[in-house]
Amino acid sequence: MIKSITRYSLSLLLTLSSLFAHRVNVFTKVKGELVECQCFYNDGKPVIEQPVQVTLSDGTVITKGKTNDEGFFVFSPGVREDLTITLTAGMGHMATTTVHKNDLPFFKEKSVARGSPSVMTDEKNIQANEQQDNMTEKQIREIIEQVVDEKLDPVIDLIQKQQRSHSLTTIIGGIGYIVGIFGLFIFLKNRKKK
Amino acid sequence: MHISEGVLAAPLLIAGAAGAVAGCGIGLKKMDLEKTPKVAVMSSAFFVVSLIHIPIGPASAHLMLNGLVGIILGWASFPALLVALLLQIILFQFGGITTLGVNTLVTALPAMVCGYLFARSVRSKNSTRAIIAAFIAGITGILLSGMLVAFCLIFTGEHFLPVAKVFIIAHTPVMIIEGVLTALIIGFLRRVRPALIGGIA
Repeated sequence: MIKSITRYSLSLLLTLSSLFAHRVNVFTKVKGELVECQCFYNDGKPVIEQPVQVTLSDGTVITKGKTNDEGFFVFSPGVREDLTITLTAGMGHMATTTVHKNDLPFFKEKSVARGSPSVMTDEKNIQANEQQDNMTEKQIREIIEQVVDEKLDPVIDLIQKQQRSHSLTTIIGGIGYIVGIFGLFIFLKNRKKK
Repeated sequence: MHISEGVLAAPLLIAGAAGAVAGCGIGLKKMDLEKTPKVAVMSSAFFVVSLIHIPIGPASAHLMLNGLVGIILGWASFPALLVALLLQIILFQFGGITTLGVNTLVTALPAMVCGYLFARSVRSKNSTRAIIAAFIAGITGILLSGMLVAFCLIFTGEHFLPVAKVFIIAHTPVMIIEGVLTALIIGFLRRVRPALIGGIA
């Protein structure tokens, strides 16, 4: 009995936040071979235990899942294609975002062969060199991405925070628009009367 | 109540838009020059008040005050709420342009119902009766909106009863806050400017 009450209360608590929100957001970060989706309501609360679906541009579903307790959903796409991530948060709330294939460098279809064809004296040697070069390039890329991610993380967080909050100027602007629209209505109705 | 884009099917969106247009048409017809500033004020109040989040437990609730809007504006609730919702889409990306009609209906229809049910009681000479009516109107507005959202979601495959049940349990604190606020505002208006209340036409 207590167990079922606890379970019911827990499921209720998990769905609670979706009922009140105006909007849900999905932000993605590509971290190496993984894509991290951060799902939250417009007031910053995480979207918990809600379904997320990842599709290709032709509509093929490549993965499905639910957000965790912190509103994250992490997956490895496995292909280098444009991805559409759809979050459904209940009570009519939904958000989609896309990850462009250029942002998924780890899923190259084929690495481009390099080196001068004129110096093909020892084929095995060249292949070994290319492999070594590719490895080095991959490692360098990984290190650069890691550093760039670390540097960019606070900037991205700041942008996300700004997107969540409503500035006072926008709110006052909105009131101004409302007054203006109804003012225009009075003007037009008055002109008709005259 | 801001149903996002891409959730509802086209026929429901079209029906919602048609309903909103019809409601706005009647509302604009009944909106005379003297009443228009009142409509603008209530539209602004709805626009601002639904940006205020009240953290309750793990959720963050926001107010609507559509019961109050209905009591004060009657049919003019439709244009007032439509304009406020439109600006919320443009400025804050709440809801969406395609769902504007449905969202307007979901907020304005309960407002209208509150207007018809409670406007007379709120204007009554008995102040206790007026305050109680205002309190119930505050609760009714948000409750009916939630029921309408649950009804719209039936067409997306969700079941009405579970959604409605969760909605009522989760919204009870917001409904009480909304009821108290509506009662306080009506009480204040009765003392300061009774002419503002009513005029349900």
